Formats: sequence, structure tokens, C-alpha cells
Amino acid sequence: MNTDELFKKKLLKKISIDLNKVRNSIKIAENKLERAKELFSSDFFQEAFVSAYTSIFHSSRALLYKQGIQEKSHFAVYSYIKNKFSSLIPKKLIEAFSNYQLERHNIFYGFESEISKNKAENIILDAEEFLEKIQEILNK
Amino acid sequence: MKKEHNKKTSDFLILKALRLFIENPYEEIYLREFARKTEISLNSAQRFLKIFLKENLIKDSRKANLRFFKANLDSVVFKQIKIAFSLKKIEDTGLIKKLKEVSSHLILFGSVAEGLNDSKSDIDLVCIGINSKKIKEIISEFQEKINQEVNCHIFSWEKWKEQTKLNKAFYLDVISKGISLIGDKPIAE
Repeated sequence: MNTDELFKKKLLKKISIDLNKVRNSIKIAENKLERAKELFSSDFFQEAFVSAYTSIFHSSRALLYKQGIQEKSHFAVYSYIKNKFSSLIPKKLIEAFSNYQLERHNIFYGFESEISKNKAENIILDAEEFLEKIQEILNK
Repeated sequence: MKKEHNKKTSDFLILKALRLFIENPYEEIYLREFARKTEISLNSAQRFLKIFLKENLIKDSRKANLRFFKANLDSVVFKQIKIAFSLKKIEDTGLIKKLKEVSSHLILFGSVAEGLNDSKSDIDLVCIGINSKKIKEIISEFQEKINQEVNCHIFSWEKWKEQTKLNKAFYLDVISKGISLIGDKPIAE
């Protein structure tokens, strides 16, 4: 979905730029990433997955706050990042985000979900790279 | 009003006529056979073949006293029309809508995506999703509906990522020549 449609469908809305929200989002992303690593090392792979996903979501959200945008759904965050930052964030991370979003939805609302060690490890590595890239963009 | 109705009827017949070449791109056909198979009058058949030849969508050749017509697979326009027909056929089965619930990426690749398929060709798909059991069920239902062999490679995201190293040629083929039906191209490296 393109950005105009996201605004039209009220999945995104303009708000005033608040740098505190940017900083808080990054802080949450960092904490969630650390938590994901701890959960992973205790073999809680599903919980580690959710925590790493939350880290990706919050680091992405920081970019939206920096531009004065509030999201209404996870899909809107992913779509906005894909539409506006695909030249700054590696495509492999953006496409992974799309898949992880579906997985997270399945964990919360589906009936069958099994998160393997490999899957949890992958998302943690991606969340780490995501956070680094977004911090780079925010610091520019 | 009548003029518009006539135009619509004519457009429908043209598509119906072209469909024969789209579905049988490697078959040669002569005028009477073409008219019979498309169930249009000989006059209309002649007129349509003339239009297709003029537009370079088909080729003709002579064998003995008969003039044969065949799809022009060298024509970019013909191939794109053929691909559009295939996509419409896939979409009409409801496959894309159903798979969206369990798949972040669905890519059509191979002969159908390149506009080189005929009715016996497999439909090649890559599906990256979260529930392979459910995906298999949906694909099997799709195969019955479309009445064609469907060859669907199902991956989780991390298994797909591994393809970038384990099966690079396959990965590159899907990325470079595939058509995204769900999501964007699943670039994973």
C-alpha cells in the first residue's frame, strides 16, 4: 500500500515531532533486543522471537516519530518503512520485517505456531542490524 | 449506445480469438480450424487473424496450399498479454487472497512468469510463509481448481535466506525473473 493510501485509510496520521518519543522508542528497541537475547539463551525461542520483533517494531517507529507520524497498525509501520526508507535500510531487512510481522500475528492470534531456534536466532540478528541502521539514519 | 455495445462484443470476440494462441502458443493452426475452435464466423476469424498479424502478435507460414498461424513468442507485447491472462486465471481461483493469511511472499516464476508456457506446463511458485501445512492445503485446492500441475516450493523466511547460499542459481532466477503475487520480491541477502 502506498503512503497516500495509508494516510487516507487513517492507518497513519500526522502528529507534531517529539524527539522524546524518538528516544523512548529507541530505548524500548534496545531493551527488547537485550531481553530477546536473554530469552534465547534460556531456550525460550517463541518469547525471544516476540521480543526481537518488538525491537524491530519500536526502532522502526522511532523513524516515524522523527518524521511526525503516528501509526495505527504494525502493517502501516512496515509499509511506511518500505515506501520511504528502502534506499537506506537493506531490502533483506525490510522483507524479513514483512515475514516476521505475519509470524508475530500467528503467535498471538493463530492456533499453530512453533518458533525454532534457527528462526529465533535469525530475527535477533536482524533486529540488531535493524536497530543499528535506524540509529545511523537518526544520527544523520 | 449500440455502437458501444458492438465495440464491446467485438473486443470480447477478439480476446476469445487471441486466447487460443495464448493457451496453445506452440500450435500451428489454419483458418477454418481457427474459426471452428474459437466458435466465430469464418469472416470474423479472417478479420481477427489479419489484426493479430498486423500487430505482430502472431506469425504465419505456408505449408503446401495451407496458410498456418502461430503465436509470436518473439513479441514482447504478446508475451505480456499471455502473462496477464495467466495472472488473471490464478487470481480468479482465490489463491492469492487465501495465501495472504499465511504467506508474506508468493512469487510466480518459470515458464508461466516468462510467458512461455502452454496448457501442459507446470505453474511454478515460491511461497514464503509461516504454516507449511496450511500452505500445502491451499495449494492443493488451487491445483484442483486450476486443473494444472502446480509446483510450489514452500519456505520459512530463514530457509529462504539459506537458499541465497545453498541454491544461489535458483534464488537468483526467482528474484530476477519472478513475478510477485504477494509482497515484494523476497530479497534476502
